[in-house]
Amino acid sequence: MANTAITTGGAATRSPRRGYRREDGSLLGYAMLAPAAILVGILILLPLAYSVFLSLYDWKLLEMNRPKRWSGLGNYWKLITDDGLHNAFVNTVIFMVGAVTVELVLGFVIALAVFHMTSGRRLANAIILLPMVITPVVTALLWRYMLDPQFGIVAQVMTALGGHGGIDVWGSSALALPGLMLVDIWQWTPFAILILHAGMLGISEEQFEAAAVDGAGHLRVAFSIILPAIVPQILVVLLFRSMDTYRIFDTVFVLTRGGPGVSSDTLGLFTFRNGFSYLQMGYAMALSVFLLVTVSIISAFYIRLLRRRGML
Amino acid sequence: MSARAISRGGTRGWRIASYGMVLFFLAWVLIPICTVTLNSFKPATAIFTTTPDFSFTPTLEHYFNVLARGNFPRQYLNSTLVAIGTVVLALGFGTPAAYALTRLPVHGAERWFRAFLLARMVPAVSLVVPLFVLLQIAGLKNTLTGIVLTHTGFTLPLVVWMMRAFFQDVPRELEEAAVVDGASRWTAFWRVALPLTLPGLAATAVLVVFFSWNEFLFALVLTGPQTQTVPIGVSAFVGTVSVDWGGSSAAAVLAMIPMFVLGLLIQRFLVSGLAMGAVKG
Amino acid sequence: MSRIKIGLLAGIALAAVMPVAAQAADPVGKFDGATLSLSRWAGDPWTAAQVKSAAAWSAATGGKLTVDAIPYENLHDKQVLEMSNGTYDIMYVHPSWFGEYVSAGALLPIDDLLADASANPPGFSKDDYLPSVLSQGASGGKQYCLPDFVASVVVAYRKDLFDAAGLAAPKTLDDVLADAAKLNKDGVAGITLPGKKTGATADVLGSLLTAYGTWWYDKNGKSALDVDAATKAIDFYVKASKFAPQGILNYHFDEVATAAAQGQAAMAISTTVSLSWVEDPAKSKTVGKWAYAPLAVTADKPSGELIYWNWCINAASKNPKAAYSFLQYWTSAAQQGAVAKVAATAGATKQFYEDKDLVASLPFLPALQGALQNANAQPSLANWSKVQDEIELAVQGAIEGKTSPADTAKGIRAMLDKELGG
Repeated sequence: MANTAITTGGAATRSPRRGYRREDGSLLGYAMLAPAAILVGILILLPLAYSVFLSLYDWKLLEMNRPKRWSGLGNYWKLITDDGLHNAFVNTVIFMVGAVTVELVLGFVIALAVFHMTSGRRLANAIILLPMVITPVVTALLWRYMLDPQFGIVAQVMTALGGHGGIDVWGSSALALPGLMLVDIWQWTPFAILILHAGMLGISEEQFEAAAVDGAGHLRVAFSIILPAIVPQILVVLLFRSMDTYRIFDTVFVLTRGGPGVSSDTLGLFTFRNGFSYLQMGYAMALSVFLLVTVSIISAFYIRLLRRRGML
Repeated sequence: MSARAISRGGTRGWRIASYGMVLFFLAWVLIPICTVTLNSFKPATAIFTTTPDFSFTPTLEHYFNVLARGNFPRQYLNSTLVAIGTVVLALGFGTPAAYALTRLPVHGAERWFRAFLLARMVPAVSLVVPLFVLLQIAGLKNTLTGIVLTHTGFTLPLVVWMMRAFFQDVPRELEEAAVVDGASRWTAFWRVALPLTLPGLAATAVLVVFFSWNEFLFALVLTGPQTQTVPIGVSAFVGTVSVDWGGSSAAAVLAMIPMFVLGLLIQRFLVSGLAMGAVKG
Repeated sequence: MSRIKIGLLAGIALAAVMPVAAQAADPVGKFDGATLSLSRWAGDPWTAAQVKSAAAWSAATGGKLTVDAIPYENLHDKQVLEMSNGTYDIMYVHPSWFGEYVSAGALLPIDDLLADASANPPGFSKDDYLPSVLSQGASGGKQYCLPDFVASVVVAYRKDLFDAAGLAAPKTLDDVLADAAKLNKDGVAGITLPGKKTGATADVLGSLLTAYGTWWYDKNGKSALDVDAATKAIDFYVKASKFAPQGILNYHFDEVATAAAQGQAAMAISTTVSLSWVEDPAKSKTVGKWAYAPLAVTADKPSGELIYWNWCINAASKNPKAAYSFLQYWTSAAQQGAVAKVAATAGATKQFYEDKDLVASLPFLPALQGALQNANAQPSLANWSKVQDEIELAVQGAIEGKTSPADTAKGIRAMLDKELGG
């Protein structure tokens, strides 16, 4: 795309910007924007507003069609004093920080390695992206079978090496949360690799050549040329992965249901459980507002950084 | 050693280490996938062993069992239809919107864009009840149209985000030249800008398909027996009710295959697309 | 599935001596043009068996019945969401959901239909059901549901390993612990039992509580747990888990049965339904090596928990009569016998237990009948899902050694006082 710009770049200077005034096309602009805006408005933002409204009532899911008891900010007040929420919040932050950090660091290392390959890059990329396209239910299944303390492949290998079965990950309150992080890292490090690798491909050869002339070693090239050049891509990985790990639900639901105890409970699961198992929908709605507000704060932080670099 | 490797600071040792790390990572990616694939061909008693067992006689029984369950072929068809419908709607609506926000004089374009981003952040759990009610009222519950609309709503923000970056990449001068030559703004979009973003469009389309094919919660809540999609079918094998590792593995493999094939086919676009779409280049 | 409770054995014992009118096996009524939808969990062989019965019912009555089978984990959420709009005519309701559904007015009372001769086969009476199980589907003097999927928690033990070690069959819970300690060697766990937060742990602890002579609540549903007895029950749970394989905190009944079937444990505490897998040659390496015993503190008082499921009609159903026709047909002894043969569930009618060939083909049945002689039914109070969650959290804490059995018991009692009223 970039080179087409060069070949035709002179066109605009040929004549004054006839027909390119601001008011022109503004009607077309709204017409093109409207369908998407209306759809997102109806399907996401309106339901969101409705759920905020419902969070102001004390109601059970089975009483959907009946008059609900107004409770004002009662459900929000409950948030502050709920130990379960506190636990889920801490777990979620640990999960997010831990998983995203590893995904980013590992993603950078592997992307750099792929970048240095002189052949087979396409095949490597093709395999790397596989975990991303697997439905979370199946991902959870894969890892349940991998880490089963009796029949999982890890246990089998350990037994074959003379040990006695594998490590019990899903049944241990110390390991369940790290186990879930491992699953997320397996599934989403590929996302970091693909984005960071593509960012590296965008670095101009001149920069490398200049470094080569300076006699810079590979480590110095990696840290003083490549790393600064892909900061926008790093921010994008941080933004998307933070958003998604903070809202993590599916894998936890299938693999541990937050257990043992509440050791792997997360905000998404906690909210779901309050609404659909305990049927306290008003409270669940308040929890989901809390979830949205906090995730927006995290996202806003990265978006601001991106914007400061003119990347958004 | 290639000139490129030198200029990137590569040495022979560095290159070997790179290949080593990549191979290691590929193994880490592939082992779980291969294990479950292997399990799907094992007789049940060969799956539950405490040491690795490769001496089993391969069997297709699990696949027959899965496919014989009335619903699985139907779920496959549903998933396919839903994915196609979602792609058409999400790209059909999202691409013009992204163009409008990038190139056309829309008042408060930045604010519109932020609204789309906000929609991307909404936790799924907060939408279950409202969407259920909404589709109920519209008479779209338990229809494929209902799920298509829902998936469209969820993927539109992504489409707008990515396509906006692609359009920003198209040199403005090209469209200006077209307009100068008498084309309408719509033609400039349709004939000039859009063709230049085809690779990006392909990448975005595939991400939308991945999302739609894999989405579980809404596909469960908003469907009935005739409209369920593949993840629901797979999860029926994974659930508490069954210790059917063979059956669930076969179902998992059947669910993964179409996405693997798609991923491999458009891998080239996806890689460049992810990169360019994610950040303006 | 795993959580099922059964009613009392007294009914089964009675059934053996009282003549019961034979039920006709054919569906009753004509419902041309009626379309029904049924909500249940997905899982074979049960779902497949029911789809077959639904087809037979449709052929006989002219109605159309769709079976919507979804993953068990999501069944409650889905039913609750669909409740108000009558999407489902028939719902498969777990005991722990029954109370909340009834109090929300979501279920249709079926007393009139049960008494209506035209809606039932000749000779039918609601007394055909085991009274202790049928009564679980009643509330406030009204009958709402018809039961099936009768089971209990029992101990299964490996005859071959016991013989080899010169041990006698375990008769009491103390025996079970002592034998588990002796057999816990050579890579085989002494015992395996569930510890996951899915209802399984509450079912096992409930069975143990009954054995130790207490229960969560009294007749009025008020907190009534005896802390000393509960301490003993939890103490047993914690001690048994020391001889269990790694990972039981993530074991549901099916993982327990899988470990047992694969020869990983000398004993297993699980439901009769899940334990049928150890006798299935396609899934088990230990077929024919198992014997079964009920849980008991003293050998003369076998105990258990009545595990069962309820078939209920949605109050919003437009075809209650057709729905009832299918329920009656599906819970009849003939249908339940057919299911039992493939799925190792026991029926909820007296006639089921009169089929000598059938009974002889179910090796767990004597232990089940023993367990049900002194059984409490799975709780069906309105807020039980939450209470159950709290109980299982507490038990997991005790197994992990974070709290002592005595403190755990006290904690559960305090929680029950708060949630149920003391």
